Amino acid sequence: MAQVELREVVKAYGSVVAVDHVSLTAGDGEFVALVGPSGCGKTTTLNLVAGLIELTDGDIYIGDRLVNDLDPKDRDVAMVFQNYALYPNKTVFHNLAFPLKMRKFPRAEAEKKVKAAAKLLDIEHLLDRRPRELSGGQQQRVALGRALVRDPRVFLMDEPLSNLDAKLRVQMRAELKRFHQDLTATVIYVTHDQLEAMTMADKMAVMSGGVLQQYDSPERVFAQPVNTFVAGFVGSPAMNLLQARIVTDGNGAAAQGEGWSCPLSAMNARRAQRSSTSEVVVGARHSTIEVHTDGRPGAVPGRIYTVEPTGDITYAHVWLGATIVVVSVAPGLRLAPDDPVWIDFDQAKLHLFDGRTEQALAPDP
Amino acid sequence: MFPAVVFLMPLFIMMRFFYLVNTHTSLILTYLTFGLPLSIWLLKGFYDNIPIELEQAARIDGATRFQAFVRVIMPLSAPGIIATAIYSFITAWNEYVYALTFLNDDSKLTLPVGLQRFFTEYATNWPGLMAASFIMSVPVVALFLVLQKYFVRALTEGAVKS
Repeated sequence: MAQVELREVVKAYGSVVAVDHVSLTAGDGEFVALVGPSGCGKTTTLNLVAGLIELTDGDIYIGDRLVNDLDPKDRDVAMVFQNYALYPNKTVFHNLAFPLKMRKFPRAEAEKKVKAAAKLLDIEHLLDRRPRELSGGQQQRVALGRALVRDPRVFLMDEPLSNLDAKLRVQMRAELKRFHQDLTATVIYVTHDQLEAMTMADKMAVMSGGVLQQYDSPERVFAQPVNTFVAGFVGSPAMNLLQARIVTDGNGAAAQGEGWSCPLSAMNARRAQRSSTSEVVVGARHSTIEVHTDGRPGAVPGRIYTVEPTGDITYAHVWLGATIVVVSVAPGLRLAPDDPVWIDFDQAKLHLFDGRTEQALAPDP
Repeated sequence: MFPAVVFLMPLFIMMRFFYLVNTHTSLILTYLTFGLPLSIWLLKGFYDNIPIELEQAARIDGATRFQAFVRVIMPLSAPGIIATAIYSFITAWNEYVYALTFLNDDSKLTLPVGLQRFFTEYATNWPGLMAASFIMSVPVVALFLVLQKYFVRALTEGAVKS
């Protein structure tokens, strides 16, 4: 096991910069998720760590070794691909044995390692089959097994769960997390699904447009997003982000949007002062907003757009002026479209972002 | 594809310059050169259908680029290689114009040219011609029968990405 360090890693294809000065360290034994929308550079970053593509600039260290110029086979990493990339003409046994064969392991030892990996992943009964005779979940286990037999220092995974059906995905997520805990391996895991990253990772690296936005534990990324992109990307339903302008009058400060106005607590008013302009973005997660069917001081009037009952929770979409805000309410509350309602924001859990730079405005220390 | 006769004169002059007229080498070189573009195009179609992740997986598993190609990719592209080989073989087998121009000795003639010799100035040796035609087609038909499914794949799979 080893730590993986990326220092100012850049990958450019001509004038297009796919990975823009990314620096992060995945500690020994940590599970690091690279998350972001399609095209954000996460798979490119993974391929750079694997050695499948060459760096334009920057350094990559695996353990304490600088690996910039090393071939993939010399970096001692193992990779699990999104579409598994199993060798179609070989049996499962030979798929698992191939990495050992390439490293000239003696046959008896290779066989032992293959059987051990197969046992761990519960695929012993499939050793004589070919990949095309396996189900998706079984193929994925074989792909994992092929990575496992080599006992590498780092596991790289490129969206391994994307090709599985929803139910299997949930099951494999738990298994992968368990797998990581049992092995204490260093894992770098690429996904576009923020839920996968949140549930499985020790640390999340959120990327967008080739730039690393935030690298922290899932809890902190969720609770303290550094900018509007991270705020809107992590968490489902997404955080409500509302454009507003800060106005101050005799009663204190308020955030005023298009057709709505919400008073701010003294602390939030001080926060808003730190913005570079009077334009701010107000962020509130669905669970920190309350819906009332009668008016009360400090609440913002709105109108129900639609209601989504999911069984455990009901999501109410509410018009606040010209914007829609998603609020989670208890299933018991009876709401119909066009009902007038009053929205109460939890001031302590409110997020504020600079309207121009989109950076988070920190609360008082 | 150019009509063969367009390059006839320049190529003959080139072969004369290299003292290759009336040798089989001249034909070998010519057929290689003309077969290459089509073979490359057909093979590329086959290789495009093999996912790159297989090569990447092999490289991560410990293979050099070359080993990854030989051990993993080539076995998968065997149908494509066979199909391309058949196509090249048939093209060379039937080629007449260059064989006629570059070869003089009776002992060196290829089959298409030799077959033409059965038509003499005043008469035609029909029985001989029929026998020779039959013999000329046997290897091709046999090869085709054995490998026909790969040949069909060459025309469909190679040209169109699945």
